[in-house]
Amino acid sequence: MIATSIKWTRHNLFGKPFDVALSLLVIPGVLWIACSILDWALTTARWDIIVQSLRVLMIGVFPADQAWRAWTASAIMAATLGAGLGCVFSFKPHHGLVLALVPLLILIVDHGDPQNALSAAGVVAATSLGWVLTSYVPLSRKAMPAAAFTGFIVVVAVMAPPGVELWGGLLLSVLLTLVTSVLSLPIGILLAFGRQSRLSSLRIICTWYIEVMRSVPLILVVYWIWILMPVLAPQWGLADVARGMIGFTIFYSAYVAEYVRSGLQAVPRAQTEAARSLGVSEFDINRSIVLPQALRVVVAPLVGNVLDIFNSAPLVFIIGLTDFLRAGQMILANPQYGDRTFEVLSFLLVTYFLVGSMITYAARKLEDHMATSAR
Amino acid sequence: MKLLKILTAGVFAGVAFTAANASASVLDTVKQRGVLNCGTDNTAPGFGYLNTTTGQIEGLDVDFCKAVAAGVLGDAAKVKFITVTDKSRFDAVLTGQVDVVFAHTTIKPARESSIAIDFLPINFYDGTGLMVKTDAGIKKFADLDGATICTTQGSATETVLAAAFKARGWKDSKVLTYENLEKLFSALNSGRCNAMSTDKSALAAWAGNAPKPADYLILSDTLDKSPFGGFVAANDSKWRNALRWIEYGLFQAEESEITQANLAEKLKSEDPFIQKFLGSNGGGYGKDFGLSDDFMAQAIKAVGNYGEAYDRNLGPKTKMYLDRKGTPNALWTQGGAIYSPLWN
Amino acid sequence: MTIHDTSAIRGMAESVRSRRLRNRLRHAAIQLGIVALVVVLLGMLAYAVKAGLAEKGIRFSFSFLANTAGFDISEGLTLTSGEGFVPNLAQFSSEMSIASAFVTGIFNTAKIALLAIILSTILGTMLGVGRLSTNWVVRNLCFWIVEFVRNTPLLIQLVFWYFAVVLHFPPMASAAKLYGGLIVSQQGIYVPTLSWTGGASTLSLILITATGVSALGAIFDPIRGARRICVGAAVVCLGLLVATGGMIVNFPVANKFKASGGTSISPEMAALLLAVVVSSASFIAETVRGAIDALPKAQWEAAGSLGLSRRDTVNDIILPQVFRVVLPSFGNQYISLTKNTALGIAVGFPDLFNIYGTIANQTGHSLEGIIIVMASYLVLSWIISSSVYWANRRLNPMGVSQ
Repeated sequence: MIATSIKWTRHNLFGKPFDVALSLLVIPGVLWIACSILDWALTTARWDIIVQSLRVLMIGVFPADQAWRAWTASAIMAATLGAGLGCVFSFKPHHGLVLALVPLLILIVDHGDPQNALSAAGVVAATSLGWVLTSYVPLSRKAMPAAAFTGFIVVVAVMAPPGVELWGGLLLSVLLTLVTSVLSLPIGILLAFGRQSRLSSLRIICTWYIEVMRSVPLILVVYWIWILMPVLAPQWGLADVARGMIGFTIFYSAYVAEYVRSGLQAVPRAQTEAARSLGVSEFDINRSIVLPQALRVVVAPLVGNVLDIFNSAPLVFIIGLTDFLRAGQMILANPQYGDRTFEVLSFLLVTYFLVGSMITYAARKLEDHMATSAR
Repeated sequence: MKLLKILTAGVFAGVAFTAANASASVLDTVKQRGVLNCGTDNTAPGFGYLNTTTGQIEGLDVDFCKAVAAGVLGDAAKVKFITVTDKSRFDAVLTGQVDVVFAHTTIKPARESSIAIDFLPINFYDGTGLMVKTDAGIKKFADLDGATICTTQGSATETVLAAAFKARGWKDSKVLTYENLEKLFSALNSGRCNAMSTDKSALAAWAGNAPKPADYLILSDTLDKSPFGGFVAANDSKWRNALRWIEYGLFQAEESEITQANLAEKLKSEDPFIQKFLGSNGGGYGKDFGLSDDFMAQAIKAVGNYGEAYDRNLGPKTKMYLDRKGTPNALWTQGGAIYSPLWN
Repeated sequence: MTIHDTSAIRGMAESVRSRRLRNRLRHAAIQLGIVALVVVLLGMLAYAVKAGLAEKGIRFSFSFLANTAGFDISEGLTLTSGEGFVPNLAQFSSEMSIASAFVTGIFNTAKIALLAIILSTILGTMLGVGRLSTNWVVRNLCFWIVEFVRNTPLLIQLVFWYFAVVLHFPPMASAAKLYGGLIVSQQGIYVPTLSWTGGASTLSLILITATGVSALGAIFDPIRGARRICVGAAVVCLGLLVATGGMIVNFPVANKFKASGGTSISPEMAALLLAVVVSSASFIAETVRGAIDALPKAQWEAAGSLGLSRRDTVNDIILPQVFRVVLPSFGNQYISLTKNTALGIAVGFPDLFNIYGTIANQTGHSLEGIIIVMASYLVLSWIISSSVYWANRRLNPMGVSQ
C-alpha cells in the first residue's frame, strides 16, 4: 500500500519538473488556507447567531404560528421532488439513510428540542414516499406531470392565506424558483416555436424579444416590471412577490426558449417530413412527435437553468423582498451582531453551494441517463 | 379578430374600472376592508424595526400606524405592516398597495410637488448629522475635507452633502452611497467611510445598539433640518384630514395629560373639553371625519399619548435615548414644537 | 393531345395556381394580422400606461435630463464640452446635468466590462487548462474553484468579496506600501503611473516613437524571436525616457484620508471586478475545457511523438484551435458579464443601474429612466456581439475547419 501511494504521489504530483514546481508552490498554500479556515470555523467563529436566527433565515418574517404552513409546503415540494427523482433513480436503502441524517442534524443543532426535528422528519418521510412510489410503481410515472402541477397549486394555496408579502427567507427563494421554472417553460416553448416559424413577422417578434431579454440585466427587468405593473393595472394590487415572479418569468422564458430551440434543432427533420407526408396536422406533429424528443434532449440543461434561477433569486432585494441573502443581511443589521459578517456569509455560501451541487449532480446524472437510455 | 375584440374590450373595461374607482376615498376602502395596510421600514431602530428574536415590528412609526388603525377601525391589531424601502415607499402609497406610510420620511418640496402625495403633520423633528469613529480624531465637519462620507441611496442626505461640499469648495471629498443603513454601518466600522451621514436619530440608534457605543462619536454639526412626516396619496382630503387629526389628538393628549394609565378615569371626567375630545358623552368630532366618536380614546388606549409613544421607542429606557429637552420634539409648553391646534 | 385534354391540364394548372395564390394571400393575411395584433397590443399598453400615469399625477417627460443633478457620484468621468465641439472627459460634479450623470454611469459600466473581459479571459483560460493538468492538486483545485463559483449566487460572492475581503484591507494610515509604489488600502488600490513631461524636446519625441514602434512589433510581429527583441527594445527606450526626464513616475503618497498621485481603483470597483472576473472565468474555463476535450487525442499524441513539451503543445497547437472554436461562446459570456456589472448597486459602485436608482429617487422619473437604461444596455450588448462576430470572421474566414 505504501508502495502504491508513493507511486501515485510521484506520478500525480511530481511527474515533471514543472509539476514539481507547481506542487511545491500550491500544496503548502492550499494547506495553509484550509487550516486557517478550519481553525477559524471551529474556534473563533461564534455560530450561535446562526442557530438563533435560523427561523428568520428560513422563512423570513412569516408569522411563527403559521410555520406549519411552511412545513406543509416543504413536505409537498419534497414529495414531488422525490417522485421526480424516482422516475430516474431507483430508491435504494442508502438514499434513505442519507435522508434520515437531516432530522438528526436538526435535532443536534436545536440542542435536543424535538419540534423542528419532527417536522423535518415528516418532510423526509414525504420525500421517501414519493421516491419509492415512482421507483417501484411504473404506472405512477405517467401521473407525474399532473401530480407536479397539482402539488404546485396546493403549495401556493397553502402559503398564500397569511399574506403573500410575508414570504421570506430561503422559502421565498425556493418558491420564486419553483414558480418561475413552472411558468417559464410553456412560454419558452411557445417562443421557441415562434422563433422558427415560417411566418416572418412572428419570427422577427420572437427573435426580438429573446434578444432583448438576453441583452438586458435581470435586475433591470425585475425593477422595470415592479414599477410598471402598478401603473398598468393598479386595480389588481399585485404584491411585490407577484411582480417579482412576473419579472423573473418574462426574463427566463427567453433563456428557456433558447434551450428548447436547440432541442428542436436536434430532432431530425426527416421525422417532421415523414409525419407531414402521412397527413398529420402541424400542431399534432409538434405536440406528439417533435416536442417530447426535444424536451428529452434538453432536460439536463433545463435543470441547469433551474439552478441559474435559484442563484439569481437574491436579486429580489432590489424590490424590497426579504430572501435568503437579505435575511442574513438583516441579521447583521442588528448592531450587536455587526461583526459576525464572516459567520453569516459563510453559512449562506455553504448552504447555496450544497443545494447547487446537488442540483448540478442531479443534472449530470440525468444527462448520463438520457444519453444511455436513448440508445 | 374575435380575440382582438375581447382583448380590447377587456383593457378598456379595466381602464374604466380604474377611473371609476379613483373617486372612492381610502378611508371608506379601509373601513370596508377592515384592515389597515400600513407601510413602515423594518430596519430603522426606534422608528420601524423588526425585532428578530420576537418577530414583531416596533418603533415610533409603528405606534403611529397602530394609533391610526385604532382610530379608524377601533382595534390596533387590525393593521398589516408592509415593509417599504426608501425606494418603494412613494410608489407603494401611489399604487394603493398601502394606505399610509410612516417611514421616517423627510418632508421636502420636491416630494410633494412632483410626486402625488400629501404629508401628514411632522411627527419627529430630526436633522442630518454625521457619525465618526472616536479614534479617528475628527471633531467637527470642517475636519472632513477630502474624506469619504457615506450615506444611503435616494435619501435627502445625498443632496444635502453635495450642497455642503459645494458651499465650502471641497473638491476632494467623496460621497459614497449604499442601499441601506447596515451596509453603511459596516463600511464605517471597517474604515472604508470616514464618516457616516444620515438622520441623527438613526445615528443614535446605531451607536446605541452597538456593542461598544463609546467607539462612535456623533458630531455636533447638524447639516440640515430633517422633519419626518407620514404621508398618504394626494387628492384624498377625507383620508388625510382624518389622519391629521388623529395625530394632533396624540399631541393634545400629552398636553392634556391623558395617558394610557389614566384613560379609564378620564373617560368618566366631567370636563366638557375632555368629554368632547374623547367622545365619551356621545358628542365628539368623529362624525365630521367619518370616524367613530371615541376614535381618540381608542388611539390613546392603543399607544398612549405622544410622550408615551416617544418614551417607549426613543426614551431613557431604550438603547438609543434621544433627549426631548431642548429639541423641537418637546411639547410646546416646554419650548418644543409639538403643538396641536385647538380641539374646540 | 386533344383540345379537351390540354384544357383539362390547363384547368388543373390553373386550379393549382389559384390554390397557390390563395395560400399566399392567406399567408400574407396571417402575417398582417399578427403585425396588426402586436401594434394594437402595444398601443393599448401605451394607452393604459398613459392613463395610469395621469391618474396618479405622475408626469412623463424627458425634460428632467437637463436639470441640475444636485448629487455627487463617487467615481467616474463624464463628457463635458471642451473647446469647440470636442468633448472632454471630466470628473462628475453635482452641478452637472442629469444627462451627464447617465453618461457617467455608462462610462463606469463600460470601464468595468472592458477590464473584466480582458482579465476573465486570461484567468478563465488558465483555469480551463489547469483542469487538464497532470498535477493532481492543480487539477482538483481548478475543478473545485470552478464548481464552487458556478454553484453559488454571484450576489453573495460579491457581498463576500466586498464586506469580508476588501473592507478588511488595512486602513490608509497603516497601508502596506509594497515595492515603494503600490498601496493596497481600504480606501483603494493605488498604482504609480507615468506622466508625460517631455514637452516637445526632440530626444523625448524620438524615444517615445521608438517605444511605440517596439511595442507594436512586440505584439504583431509573427516571428517569436523578433517579438522578444522588440519587447527588450521597448523596455530600454522607456527606461531612457524616464532617465532623461521625458516621463516621470507618479508615486502615490498617502494622505490622511486618501492618497494623491498615481491612479487608483476604488474598493467598490475592486470588489465588483474580483467577483465578476472570478465568476466569468469559471464559465469560460468550462467552455475552454470542453473545447480542449473535443479536440482529437491524436494531436496530443502526435505532438508528444515529435518531442514537444506539454507546455509547447498547449501554447502552439491546442490553444489556437480552441480559440477559433470558442469565440461565439465567449461572446455570450462577455454579454453576461456586462449584465452582471449591474450588481454594483449592492456594494455602492456607481454603475449605470445604480445611478439610475439615484436619479429615479431624486427626480421621481423612474419610467423615463428605465427606457434610457435599457437602450444603453442594448447598445452595449450589440457592440460586444458585433465585435465578437467581426473577430470570428477574421479568425475563421471560411468557417471552423475540422
